[in-house]
Amino acid sequence: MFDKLYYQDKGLFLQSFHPAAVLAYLFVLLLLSLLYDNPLYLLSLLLLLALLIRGVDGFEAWEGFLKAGVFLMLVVMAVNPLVIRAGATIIWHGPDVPFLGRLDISMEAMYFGAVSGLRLLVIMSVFCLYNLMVNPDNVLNLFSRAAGKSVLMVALATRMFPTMVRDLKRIKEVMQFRGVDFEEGSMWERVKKYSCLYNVMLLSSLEDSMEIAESMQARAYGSGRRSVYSRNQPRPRDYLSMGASLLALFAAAWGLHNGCGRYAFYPVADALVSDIPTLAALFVVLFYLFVPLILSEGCKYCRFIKSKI
Amino acid sequence: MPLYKVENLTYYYPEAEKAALKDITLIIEEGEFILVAGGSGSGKSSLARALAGLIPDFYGGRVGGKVYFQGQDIRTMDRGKLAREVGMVFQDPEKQIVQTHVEAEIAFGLENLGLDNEEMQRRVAEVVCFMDLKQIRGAFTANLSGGQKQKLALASVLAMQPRVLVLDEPTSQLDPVSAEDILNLVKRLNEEMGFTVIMIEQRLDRCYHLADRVLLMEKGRIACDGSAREVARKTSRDGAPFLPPVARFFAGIEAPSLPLTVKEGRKLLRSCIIIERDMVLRPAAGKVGDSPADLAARGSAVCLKNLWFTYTGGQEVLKDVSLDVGEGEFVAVLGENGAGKSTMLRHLTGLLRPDRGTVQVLGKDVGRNGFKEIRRHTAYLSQNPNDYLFQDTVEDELLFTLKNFGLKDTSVVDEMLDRFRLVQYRRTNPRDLSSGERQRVALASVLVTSPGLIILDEPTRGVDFRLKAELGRFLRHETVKGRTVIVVTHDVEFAAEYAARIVMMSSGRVVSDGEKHEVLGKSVFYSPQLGKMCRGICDGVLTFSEARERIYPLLGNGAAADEGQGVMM
Amino acid sequence: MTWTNWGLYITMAGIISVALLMLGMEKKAGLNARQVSLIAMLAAFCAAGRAVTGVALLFMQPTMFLVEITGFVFGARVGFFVGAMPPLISNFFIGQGPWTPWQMISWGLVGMSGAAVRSLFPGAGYRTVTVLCFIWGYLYGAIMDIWQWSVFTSPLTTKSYFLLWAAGFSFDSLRAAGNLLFCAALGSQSIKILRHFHKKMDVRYLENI
Repeated sequence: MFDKLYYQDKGLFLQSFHPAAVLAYLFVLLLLSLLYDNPLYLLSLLLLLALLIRGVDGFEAWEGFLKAGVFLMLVVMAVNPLVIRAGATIIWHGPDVPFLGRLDISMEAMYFGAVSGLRLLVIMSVFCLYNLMVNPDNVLNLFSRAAGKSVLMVALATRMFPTMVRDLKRIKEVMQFRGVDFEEGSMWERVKKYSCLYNVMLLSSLEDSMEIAESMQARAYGSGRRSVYSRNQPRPRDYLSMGASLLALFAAAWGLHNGCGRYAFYPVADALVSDIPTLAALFVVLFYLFVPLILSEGCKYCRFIKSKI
Repeated sequence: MPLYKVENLTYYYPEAEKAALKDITLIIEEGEFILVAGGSGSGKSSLARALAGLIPDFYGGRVGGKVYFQGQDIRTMDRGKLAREVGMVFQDPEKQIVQTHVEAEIAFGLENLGLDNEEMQRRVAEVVCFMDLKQIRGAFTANLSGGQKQKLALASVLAMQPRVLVLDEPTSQLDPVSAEDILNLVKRLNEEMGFTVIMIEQRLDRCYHLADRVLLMEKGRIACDGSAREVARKTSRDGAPFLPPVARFFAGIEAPSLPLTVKEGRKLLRSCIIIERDMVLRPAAGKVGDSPADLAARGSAVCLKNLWFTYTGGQEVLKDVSLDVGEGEFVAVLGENGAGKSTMLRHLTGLLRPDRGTVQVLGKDVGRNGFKEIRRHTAYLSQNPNDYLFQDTVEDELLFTLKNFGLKDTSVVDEMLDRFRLVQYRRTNPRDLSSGERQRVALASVLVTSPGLIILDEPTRGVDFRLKAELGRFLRHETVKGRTVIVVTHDVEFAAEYAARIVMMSSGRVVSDGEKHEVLGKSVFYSPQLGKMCRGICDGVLTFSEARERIYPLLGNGAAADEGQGVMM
Repeated sequence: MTWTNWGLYITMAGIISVALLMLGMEKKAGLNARQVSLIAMLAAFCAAGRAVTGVALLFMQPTMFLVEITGFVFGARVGFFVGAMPPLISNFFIGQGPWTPWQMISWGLVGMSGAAVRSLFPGAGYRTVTVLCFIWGYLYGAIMDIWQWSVFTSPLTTKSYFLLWAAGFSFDSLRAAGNLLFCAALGSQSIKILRHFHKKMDVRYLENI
């Protein structure tokens, strides 16, 4: 399970963007999911994300992410109605509870809880897409100019992680043959058994770290200023999607300034679509956000586009 | 001007009382291929590190004498400049790779030198092309095989375009195929590209003939220095542990020349042996192995019947494997990487359960009850002795195992320490010991329960000649006592010398199984060097003692008169 | 209703502060090869420790106390890095989530608190660390809840926060118990081991004979 990176390169168009472009795009998506309150807007974002995740062939991974989000979502949906007193439409008059006060559950609070859940799904999906769309190596590479040593440490630790998991499993087997039964005994006894396991590993990994350091030193690490080897080259598609992300952000900011995308739940929930500008703003923002998808589809069906981006 | 000039170099590691290097004086010319041989603890690695500038820069400690590189004192040289000139590859590929991405790893040294991106791109491309790394250039480094990792480590050093390559046992952790790959590359670098190569190796049969010059080290000093043949001649007089088997064999007789390779050996053997037709085809001498009847009389220690196994990933690794090992047998399991050796091992230790088939170990059905049934009677030594060491003292390591099995009798500890020559380390922290001693501690810590079955996974990796012989003799002694030994190894020489029976596996099947002469004698590639040399001339010779016994009498004109004095083992 | 999007601010604060902390810690002084590889190996070890313990231990992990001890022995900077990296690393393999930055901050703080203990109470031993580990079991949950609370609940009151925290109480208790047990079992020995290597890192003497 821990021997492969989560990201798998499938050679898809959406995976071919420059990491900076992807980060900018996903950052805008994340911002919007936090800025927007209107359920319609959030739903459209979710739809867009679903299409993108289909584009990176990631429905299976998405399912995993949504499942992980469900627990969080349930908590959020349960907590909200319990503490919110602002709703006007009371659907259930509860008893008095110490600390919390009177447990009146309102329609609006339920509604808000549901929309919060929706927002959570959007955020989960943004991260799911991030995991599927961009190679973490490339992201690290992007940051190594700013924080070379941190990136190097992260890379080294990431590279050692699968080895360590393997080693731990092997040491566990070795321990079993020396008579340690990890499944037996009280919790305290088990912790002590695992302590032996971790002790071996800790000692070995500290010893290994000295050898790794030696190999780094032999390759002139720390002998002067480091430069950065960069493998990523921006292409027209990256400028296009980067520009589109910025435009989407501006459009959204302008829209929010004029109230498009905001939404009041209390005391009575707003109408979903109150006026034409609300729809228009949504349309404009979505159009810009669709750019990578449009490029992806265009690439599939049109040689000309493919050759130009 | 010589490339290296070492003058009276003496070195102590921090807090060490014994000198690692004693009064070394040495001159190395450009373009030489130098092989450094010697037992563990002889100062080989320290010398290599001193030449690469890591001693004393990285280690600290006390130094006397000077190392000059192209006339300049190495300690006054800028580290970046030195790294551009001298590249070093280490023993363990796991501990040299620092990046997640193959290309980034190759570029690591270049980044440290502060080269610009264009230059780095060019050099990375060059190295990828030269070392044929195209298939893996975008791979995640953690998932490469050991051989690929070592190749990558070499690539990363080569990208810095050094003129000198220092290699510290670069093949000791690799399977034979990958090892050959690395050695061929090194040879090409030396011959075609003029690199100066300084290589430390334990497995001399693979590389002795490649070297122009051999340095034999002993107790921190250079005991012998000269061309490969000169050193072979000089050392052949005293036991010759640091010669390839072919040379060692001929060292015992006053041969007109000293062959270093199988090819030369065969030539010489043909020229001086009196060939008798019936000799050639005669099967192996009678003393090896037991007769079938003898075997049948013993109980069965391990019995695998029609084993099939597929990993959850969908890879079918065992296909109808059957194996019957009697008590007191010494079995070596050979085969390429991914042949299913370790998967089979995990079945007979109960760590995996078969999809189909049965596993019986020491009369108990392991497939059903798992390892719990048999672990008390099974000793398992993994590839890495460090997996065993975490207590404060050596004694505690042994007591730990005893305590876990609820065994009260601790007198066995003394006996074990004595047998493994660890008595003086009783109160020492096992992590302060050398690697050979660590292996002995690990072995002692699993053998305190006096198990009936001893399983070892690659026990000869990175172990020097002497310790290997010691281990082999010990295991053989155990089988005499009725214990069963199963060794999974790539080391054909070890298997041929000490095992009685060989099981060869390939792509999940047992392809050959039988007495060692039967299996190894038939094989061209899975054969020890002496077997290769004697093949077709005097079949059925695998080990040194057999060769001596069978061939010396055949040599005409009394060439073998002094066989007793020069040869050990 | 005034429109203040705390969720947004808190999320941004998380991302930016983790970036700044990493950058600041790195720039403070040069890290040599030994330090870099030691930090990376300890971080990888913590991440692997998180990954390997399973049902037999009720998913209790030996990781947090080790981060704490690393900070205690090696100081704030190493403690921070060793703490902040494991969540990031293991998430490379199981997927990054929105919680990653906050996880990194909390774990990093665990490491730094170890260093704080040492400088505040120079005589402190592993008992003090154990107590701190236990507290961190709950504190960690409390910090992680802030993000969830700010993004998904409205209005932001102590009550709603308390409810969220209560919802995770059982998990937090398990974590705290795990920390306590592991630290009690392994603490003094780990401190000894790390101190041994700490000496190795710094002692570098060159002497000419």
